[in-house]
Amino acid sequence: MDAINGLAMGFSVLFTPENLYFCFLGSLVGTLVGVLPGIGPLAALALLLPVTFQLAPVAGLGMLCAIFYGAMYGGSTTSILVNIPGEAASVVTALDGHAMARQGRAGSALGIAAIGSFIAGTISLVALTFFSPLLASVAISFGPPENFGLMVLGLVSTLYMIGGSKVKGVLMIALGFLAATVGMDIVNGQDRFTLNNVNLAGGIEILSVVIGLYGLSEILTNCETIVKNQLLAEKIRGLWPSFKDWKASWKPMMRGSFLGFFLGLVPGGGPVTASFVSYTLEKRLAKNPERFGNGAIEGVAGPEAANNAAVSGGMIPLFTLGIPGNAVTALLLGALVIQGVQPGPTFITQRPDLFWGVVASMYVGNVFLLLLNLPLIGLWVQCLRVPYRVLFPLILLLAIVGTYSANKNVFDLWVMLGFGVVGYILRKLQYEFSPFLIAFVLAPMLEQSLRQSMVMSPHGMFIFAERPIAACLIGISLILAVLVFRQRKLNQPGGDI
Amino acid sequence: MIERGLNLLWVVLGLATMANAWALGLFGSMGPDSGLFPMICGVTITLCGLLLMIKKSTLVENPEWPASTGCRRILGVLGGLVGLTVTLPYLGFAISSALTTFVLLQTIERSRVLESVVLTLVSVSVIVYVFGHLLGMSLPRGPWGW
Amino acid sequence: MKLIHSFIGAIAAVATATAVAQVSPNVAKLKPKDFPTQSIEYTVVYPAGGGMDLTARQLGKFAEQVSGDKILVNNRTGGAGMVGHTYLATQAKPDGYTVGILANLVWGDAMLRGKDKWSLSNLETIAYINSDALAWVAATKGPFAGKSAKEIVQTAKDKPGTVRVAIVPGSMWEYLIDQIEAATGAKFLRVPFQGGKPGVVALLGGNVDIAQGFYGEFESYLQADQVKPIAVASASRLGNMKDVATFNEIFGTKDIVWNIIRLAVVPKGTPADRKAYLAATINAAVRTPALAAEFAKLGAYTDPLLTNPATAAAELDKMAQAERAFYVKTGRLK
Repeated sequence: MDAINGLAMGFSVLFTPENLYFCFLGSLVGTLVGVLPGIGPLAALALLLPVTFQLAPVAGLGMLCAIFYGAMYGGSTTSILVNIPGEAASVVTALDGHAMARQGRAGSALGIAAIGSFIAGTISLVALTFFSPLLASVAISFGPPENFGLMVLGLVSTLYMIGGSKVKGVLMIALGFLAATVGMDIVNGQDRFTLNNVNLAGGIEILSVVIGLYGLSEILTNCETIVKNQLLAEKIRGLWPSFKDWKASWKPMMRGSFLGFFLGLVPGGGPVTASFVSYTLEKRLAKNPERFGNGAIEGVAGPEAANNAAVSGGMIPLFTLGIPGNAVTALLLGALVIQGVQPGPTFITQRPDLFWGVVASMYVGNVFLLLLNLPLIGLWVQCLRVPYRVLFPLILLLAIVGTYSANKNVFDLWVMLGFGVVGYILRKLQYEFSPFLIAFVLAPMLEQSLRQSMVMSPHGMFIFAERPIAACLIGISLILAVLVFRQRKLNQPGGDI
Repeated sequence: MIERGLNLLWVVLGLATMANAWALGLFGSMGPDSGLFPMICGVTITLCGLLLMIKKSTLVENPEWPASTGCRRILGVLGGLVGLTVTLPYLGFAISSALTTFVLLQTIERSRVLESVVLTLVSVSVIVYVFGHLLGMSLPRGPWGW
Repeated sequence: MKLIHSFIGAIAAVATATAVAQVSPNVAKLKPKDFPTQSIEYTVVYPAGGGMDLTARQLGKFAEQVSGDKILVNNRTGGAGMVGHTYLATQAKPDGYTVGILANLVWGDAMLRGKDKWSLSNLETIAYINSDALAWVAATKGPFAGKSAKEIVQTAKDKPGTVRVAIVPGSMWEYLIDQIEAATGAKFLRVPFQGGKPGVVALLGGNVDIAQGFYGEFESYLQADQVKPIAVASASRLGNMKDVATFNEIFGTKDIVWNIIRLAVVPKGTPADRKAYLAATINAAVRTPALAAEFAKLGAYTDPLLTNPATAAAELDKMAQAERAFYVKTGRLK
């Protein structure tokens, strides 16, 4: 069955009251879950999984998928408004998004984020519709050496993100790497740096890091002075992006969509990786890169598009090969299995109604989300007018519950508090957190794929030269790395490291 | 001064990491072993720390440390959060967060008693409702079962 | 999701007609007077959506039906199950409101990693759920297509260190290879992965020559004729893989049996009447035909040695001791 017929069948399957209702419900829950810091799509999907047992397959799966990409829409809201990322995939959005909010351009930032998410979501769905089988073979061809190449590329991109002192940036990268090694070594089962505490056997929970480092440190910074009034003193200038904003944003949105889609497709990628590689790309391509970090709208448009496109990209290996790329798609896999469906090479041919029905629900879900999020912008902006001391308890409690939701383990709260204190101090001393976070996210896969490749390889390091995709990726990384250092030398002949 | 202390801390941390990594082993039968990546991290951290200690140009000129009132407020909030985390497994989420919120509002924000009570009740109820009931998450329960 | 649950319940009741088990009289007569007054937690130590989690959720659904109690599945993840195991053994209150839905991997964790903090005696097994046997899987294309397990092992013997097999370090995936190597003198190249499924994926991409996984993990590729199981580590041949020989058949050994055994445990000290009630609930649920069908869909099977509830706990204890003997023999335990 070709794509157009399939899609037509999918829409006919989708348009029943039950299926549409649950698609909408998923979008709503996804937005809510995205906006609330800490609790992310994974927790919501885990909680709603039992509900899908009683539903028709398209309804249940459509709802779960809608929660996943809905969270990518909502995640940018708290990032932009209060500098507390709702999601690891929205951390990057906070960099320029919140700066824009401080300049009174919160409405514009929120609008661009929502519309960029919609455009990316739709474009990537079109790619999924027409190119799934072809792209599936791309996913399969990524073995350990290719994963390593991709991770190296991601790591080099991190160097571009360092705005201030390079030494401090590299230090943060090394710390992020080190933090990621805490826990059980997945290659040989040995405990590393666990300080004899069983709670660290699984490693440091990323949610504790994100909420502590970004969220709690922000709260503590706000606490310094008695913020009598609103969070943002600047008058809100209009709720809609201006023509200038559009003009600056459309290319980053396009680039973000394609980049995000590809990064969602390959193993080891995902929305988080997609968001910050997009940010790096936009910064590299921009005429005045110094604007980044101070309200450059490209820094919102690109990453927000990328994280949404990565969701659809991640669906391809899930549906066509039964390979989940991350914890969320692993859960979706479980939901399919419970419905008696084994996603894999025969899924599309055996259950075209289910596959195309879910794809159709994703198109419709994106529309729902756009319609949900745009009017909400006005509401969110009004929230900023509420006096801080009213919001303050809510924000604090949200941080606590959000962190707890990850593993239901009180230990994670201590980790969050620790990172909050450290984050507060480091902020004062002008350290950047993004290099830390990205290294923390990339390190496990980078280390694992390197060691797997070394084991597999009969010729040691030469395996990377023998495999074309891996060689390409590493080659590009080396070139980029050289360019980073060259650029530094050109920009600062005096040598401010 | 704090920054100098921090730079020294980085060097110490880096050296400790290197020592631990060495104990873990750098290369094993299957290629790189557990300690290799931590060793690389340790070396990098130590070098960066040393560079930061030597090069004066990296020191932040006037870090905006808070005044004494600000310090007290921050310590107060931290104290409240620590209290919340300690009591959470015993009193349950609802009670410990209500207590913490009320105390913080009274001491840090210096709100009026009535305002504090109302805000506390509203905030805690909203969170317990949204997370506990709407989203069905199992929040820790107190001795009275809620 | 109480709000959403009740709404959906209404829709589901109208829209579909599902086969619902009734409250079992055998279970009802064992119900203690004051128990339960709140929902019972089924603790799963692995992430949501995985095989263990799905089993627990299906079990929970049917257990609710045969007992009329409210059951909530909670994932306490971390450290490949270690965090959850430690919680159940040391922190969970033995009041009957916590039931651990575990795999026999807890035996390894208790013996090798629990150290002085906890041991298997902190947990009491109350029921057997189902089993899943580890199988060797080869690709239908490539240099080892169409070869039997014996032929591949011969290649590994003739050219040691060239046949790449996917393992999960520190667990039964690795022990299986240990035993094959000891029994045949072959030498494999062990490529580490985090689970059976990543190994199967690597097999498809030509990055390993043999993958080791459970039926549910490779079923979809088997149906698409991309992989084929060539040996299974169970005591006797399995219903869903009738023409796949067991390792013991192929190599003439007796002890190459590696499977996931899913069981229910409670913390030590749970009152006897509540324990009996929980056990009866789970046993009744497992015997519902609808649940058995669901388990079969997930690729699991029922071990004939463990189907008698009266003797299941003792049999499982024997198996745990056999595993301990393996650890002592291979020097992993003193």
